[in-house]
Amino acid sequence: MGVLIVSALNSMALLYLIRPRKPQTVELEGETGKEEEEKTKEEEEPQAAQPAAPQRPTTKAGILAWRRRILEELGEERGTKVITMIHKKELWTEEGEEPEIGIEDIEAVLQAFRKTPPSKPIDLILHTPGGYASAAQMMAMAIKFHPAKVTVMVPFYAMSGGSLMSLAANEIRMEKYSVLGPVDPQIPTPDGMWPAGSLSTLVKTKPIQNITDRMIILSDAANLEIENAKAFVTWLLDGKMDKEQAERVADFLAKGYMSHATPITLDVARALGLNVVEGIPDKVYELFKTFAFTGQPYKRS
Amino acid sequence: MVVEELDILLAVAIVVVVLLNMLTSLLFLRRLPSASGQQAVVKEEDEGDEEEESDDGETEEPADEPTKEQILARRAQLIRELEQERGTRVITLIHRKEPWNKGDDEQEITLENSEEILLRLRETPPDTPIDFIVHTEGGSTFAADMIAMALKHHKGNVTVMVPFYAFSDGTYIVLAGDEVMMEKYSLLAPVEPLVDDMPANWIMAVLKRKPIETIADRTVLLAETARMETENARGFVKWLLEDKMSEDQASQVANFLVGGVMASTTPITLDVARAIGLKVTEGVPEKVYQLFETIEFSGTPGPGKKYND
Repeated sequence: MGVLIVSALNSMALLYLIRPRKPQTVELEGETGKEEEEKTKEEEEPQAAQPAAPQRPTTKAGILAWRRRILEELGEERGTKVITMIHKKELWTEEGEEPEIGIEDIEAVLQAFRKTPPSKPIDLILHTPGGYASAAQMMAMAIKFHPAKVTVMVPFYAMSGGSLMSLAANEIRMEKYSVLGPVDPQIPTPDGMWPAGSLSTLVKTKPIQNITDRMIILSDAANLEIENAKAFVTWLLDGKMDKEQAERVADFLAKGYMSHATPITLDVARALGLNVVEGIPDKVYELFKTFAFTGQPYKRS
Repeated sequence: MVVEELDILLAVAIVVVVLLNMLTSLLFLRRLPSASGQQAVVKEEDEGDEEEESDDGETEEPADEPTKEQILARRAQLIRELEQERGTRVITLIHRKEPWNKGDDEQEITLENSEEILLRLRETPPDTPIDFIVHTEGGSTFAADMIAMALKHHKGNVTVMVPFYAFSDGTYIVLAGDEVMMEKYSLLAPVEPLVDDMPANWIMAVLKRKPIETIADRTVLLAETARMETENARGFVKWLLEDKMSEDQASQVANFLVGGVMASTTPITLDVARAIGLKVTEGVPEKVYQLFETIEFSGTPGPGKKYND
C-alpha cells in the first residue's frame, strides 16, 4: 500500500514539477514583450539547468522591462500615472550622442499625457540638461493643461527647458542638492551658443559700427526670444502666484542676469514662491539604478 | 498488530519524505528563477546572457523588432481605417526618425515630399474631402508652398490635422486648409523667412541701425533678399487666407505671422490660431495617434523618451 502511495505521490510531484514552469515563463514574457515569446521558451530549458549568478539585465529589452516594472510599482504606490523624461546615456546610445530635450520627446511625453485620464494625477520624473525650446514649451503646456495634479520630480537636475517644464507643475519634488536652472534663451551664433541677454548687452555696450552685422541681427532676434520666454513663464505661473510676482520671477529666470548653469536650489525655488516639497520616493532612485552610469553596466553591490 | 502498525508508520514516513522531497524540489524550482527575489529581473538577465553570447550585444534582438514592411503595412491599414471612419482621403506629411533612418538623417519638407503629395492630391477626386496630417519642423519653403497651393485649390473640404506641431513652413500648409484640428498643446510657428539662417526682418533692420559704410556688402545683399522673401511670404499668407476672412484681416494676420514681431519660438497655439480667424477644432482623431504609435513598438527610444502604458 505504501509503495502505491509513494509512486502516486511521486508521479504527482513529477507532474507538478513540470507544470508550473510553463505558466511562469509566460508570465515573465508578458513583461519583456510578446515578440520574445518564442525565444524565451527556447532559452528557458538551459537556463533552468544552470542557475545564473544574480546580475543586472544587460539587454535593452531586459533593462526596459525592469524599468517598466519599477514605474508601475511607483504608480501604484502613489496612485498616479508616472511619466519620465530622463536624458541619460544608455548602453545602446550611439557614440557621441548627448541626450537632451529633442523633437522625439514631444511625441512620447504628449502621448502619455493625452492617454492619462483627466482626473488621474501625474508624476513626471525629469532629468535633463535642457534642449530644444519649442519642445519644452509644448510639454510645459501639456503639464499646465492637465486638470489633475501634476508633480514634477527632480532627483538630480532639470536645467533650462527642464526647469521651464517644472514651473508648469502644481508641485515640484526635489532634494536639497537637486537643481533647476534659469530659463533664459540660448542663441546659436557662428561663434557658438550665447545667452540672449549677453547678445543684447553686446549691442548696448559696443559702438554699433564695430559690431559684426550678424551679431546685431542675432541680438535683435534674441531680444524677442527673451520677451517670449518671459511671457511664457508668466503664463505658466499664472494661478500659482499673483501676477506681479509671476512677472518678477519670469524676469529673474528668463532675462539672463545669471549664468545659465546657476543652480536654482530647493530654497531658491521656494523663495520664488513655487510649491516645492523636499524628498523623492525611493522607487525613483531604484529607477536610476537601471541606467548604466558612465556608459558602463552598473555593478550590483 | 505491531507489524501492521510498523507498515503504516513506514508508509507514513515514506509519504512524509516524498512530500518533503516534492516541497524542496518545488521550492528549488521556484527559487531558481527568483534567486534575488525579483523574478523578472533575473529572468531578463538570463536572456541577456544568452544574447550576449550569441551576438556580443552588437545588435539588439533583431528578430523581435517589426520589420520596415510590417510597420508600413500597419500604417497603411490605419490610414485606410481612418479614411473609412471619416469618409475622406488621408494624406500625411510626417517627419520623424524611423528605426531605419541612420545617424543624422534630417527629416524635413523636401521636393520629393511635395511631388509625392501633389501626385496623391491629383489622384483624389475633386469632391472628396481630404484629411491632411502634418507633423514637421519645416524645410524647403518652395516645396511647402506647392503643397499649400494644391490644398487650397482642392475643391472638397480640407482638414489639416496637427497632433503635435507644424513649425515654420509646415504652418503654411495649416493656413491652406479649410479647417484645422489640433490639441491645446499643439503648436504652429511664425513663418518669418530665414535668410542665411538669420531672421529676415532683423537683417533689414541692420541697414537702419548701422552706418551703411560699416555694413558688409554681403549683409546689404542679404537684406535685399530678405525684403523680397518677406514680401513673398506676406503675399502668400494673404492669398492663403483670402477666402477665410476679410482682406484687411488677412493682411494683418500676414504681417503678424511674417513680420518679425515674434520670436522664432513664440508658440502659436490653438487659441492664437482661433484668434487670427482660422476655423479650429480641438482634438485629433484617435486613429491619428495610433498612426504615430506605429513606431513605438520597435522600442526605438529609451524609456526617458518612451511612455509606459
